[in-house]
Amino acid sequence: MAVGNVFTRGFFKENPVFVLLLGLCPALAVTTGLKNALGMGLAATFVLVCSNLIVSLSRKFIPKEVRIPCFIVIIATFVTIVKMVMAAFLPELKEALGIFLPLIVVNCIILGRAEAFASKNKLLPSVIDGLGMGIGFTLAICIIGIVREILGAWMIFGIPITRGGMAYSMKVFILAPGGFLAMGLLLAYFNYLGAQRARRLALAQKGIHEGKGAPAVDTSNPTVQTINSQNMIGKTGAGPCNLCPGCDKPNF
Amino acid sequence: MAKQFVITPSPHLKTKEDIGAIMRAVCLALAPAFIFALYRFGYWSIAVTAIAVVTAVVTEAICQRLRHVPYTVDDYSAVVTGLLLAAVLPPNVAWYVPFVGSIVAIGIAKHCFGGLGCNIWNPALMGRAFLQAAFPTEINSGTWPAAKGESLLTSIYTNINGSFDFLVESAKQVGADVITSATPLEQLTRVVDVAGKVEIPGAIYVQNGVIQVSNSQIFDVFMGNTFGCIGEISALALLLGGIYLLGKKIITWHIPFAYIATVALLGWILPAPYSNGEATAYTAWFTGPWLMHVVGGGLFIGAFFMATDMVTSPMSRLGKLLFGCGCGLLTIVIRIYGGYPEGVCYSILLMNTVVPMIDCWTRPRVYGTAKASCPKH
Repeated sequence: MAVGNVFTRGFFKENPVFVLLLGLCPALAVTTGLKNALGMGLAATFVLVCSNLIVSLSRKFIPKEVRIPCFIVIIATFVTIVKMVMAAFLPELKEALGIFLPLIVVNCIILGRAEAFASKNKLLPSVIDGLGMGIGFTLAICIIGIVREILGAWMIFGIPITRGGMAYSMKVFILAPGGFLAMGLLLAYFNYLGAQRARRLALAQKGIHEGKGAPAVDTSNPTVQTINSQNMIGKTGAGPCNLCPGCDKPNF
Repeated sequence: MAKQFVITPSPHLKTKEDIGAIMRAVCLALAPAFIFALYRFGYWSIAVTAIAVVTAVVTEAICQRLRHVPYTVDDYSAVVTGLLLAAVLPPNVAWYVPFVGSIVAIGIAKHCFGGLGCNIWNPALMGRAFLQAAFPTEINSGTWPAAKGESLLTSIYTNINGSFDFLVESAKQVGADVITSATPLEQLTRVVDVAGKVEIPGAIYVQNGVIQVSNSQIFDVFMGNTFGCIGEISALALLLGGIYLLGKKIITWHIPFAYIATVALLGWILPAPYSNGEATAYTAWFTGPWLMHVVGGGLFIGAFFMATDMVTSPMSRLGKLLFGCGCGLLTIVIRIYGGYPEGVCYSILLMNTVVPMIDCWTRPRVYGTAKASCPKH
């Protein structure tokens, strides 16, 4: 696998939070503001890179039967380091993250990458995978954090957007229900973007350029001829669209 | 030509009643409450209602566009949601409160669950619950125009010494334009033992371990001569609307009857906490101000308009009675022992959650077949 692909797939294609749905606990709990989200994301990224490094180095001699406890011990070591460093230099952030800082130990993303990638790959790809996934996680929880902070407190990074702007804030978004709401709405939006992309790709594969004049007619396949951008919109249950191989879902 | 032959499977029962007709009847039934609101609170209450309704309809259209389903904004269901949401908002809220509430009600509570007929919870109440969490200060404080307090009802019943009249008079004496005051239910939750010395006419107090509520106060609250949300202050106007819906057979008597009867019974039986100056004491059993619990707050709009929502209420008669009793129990428990003075919104939402279970338990046996079993977990 190409190193570049290993690095970038964590950003969007296999984003840990929005696509793999891992590590939702910190993604919901500490995303009340951009500052907390960034702190948590960077802490998790550091742990992820370091644990991937050590797991990859020691993958040859960790017995298969007890690998999970071994991974947890490795991860816990780095979480302790992060916790102590944060207590020394960023006590406010440590206070804000609270119990969720030690809970990085059981973050599914870190254990998941150790199990699925680092324990099977060499040093360099493992570190790059950890970095990519960590950046993807940080990116995702920062998006949730900024949305919740704007809606819930009318602030970005703890600074009010407009003077006296508290009037427009919806306090529910910095509370627990708002975390679920913001997460759900963002997930829906990213799923929508993903579906759009898949649809575009499928159309491109069939040689149809959506919305750009007349569709290119593939004479070899009679079912494709009838499908163009006009009759795809607003038709429900009009039979299988035949765009994706192996899928019999109706045409939108 | 297209409409000349309608081909459908049996049974071939025809009716002119459709969703639009039902929803229009509900709008009509709500009209007295909103006319009373216009007259009591002034134009802003109707502006709030208009914002809620327009936002609800526009959100419905946008959601249906995004979901690639046919537009059904002309069936008035979004209008009813907007009206009901506005009915449980305080008058004089800022414009963005009904705006956000309608978006949440239609967009999240209704269309995220599949649109009309598929929503688990009453959309208007979900909007209200969201607003309660999102804008606690805006939702819990309302102002009432003092000048409009000089209204037809007060001039007819001049001899009634209710708290509303007293506050209107006081406001005029100090030259204030608006009043802000506790609703009757808020007063009920904050009652204190004043040892018989009543300094404010119309105040609710405790004497000898019993909450003292006079008949004139209850009559005031019943007529709408009180403080509260836009559409819920006048129990009389809502009762007229409810009777109209019952007469049109759009709702049945089961849910409102079970709901109101449970609230009245438990409001009478249960002891309520109050402050006797030093600590929290409890009133005696079987002495509760049950009539105040019935006419005060949002019980009538909840019982007649919200709990009876066809989508989110049980189908069988027994199920409706159970549903109404559950709503009543939760309402009175929240009112007397809970953190909020009013429990109608949350009680109906909680009971909406168990409607599929109630429907399953109370499903009638089809003649000649074995009783259908409910899915376990």
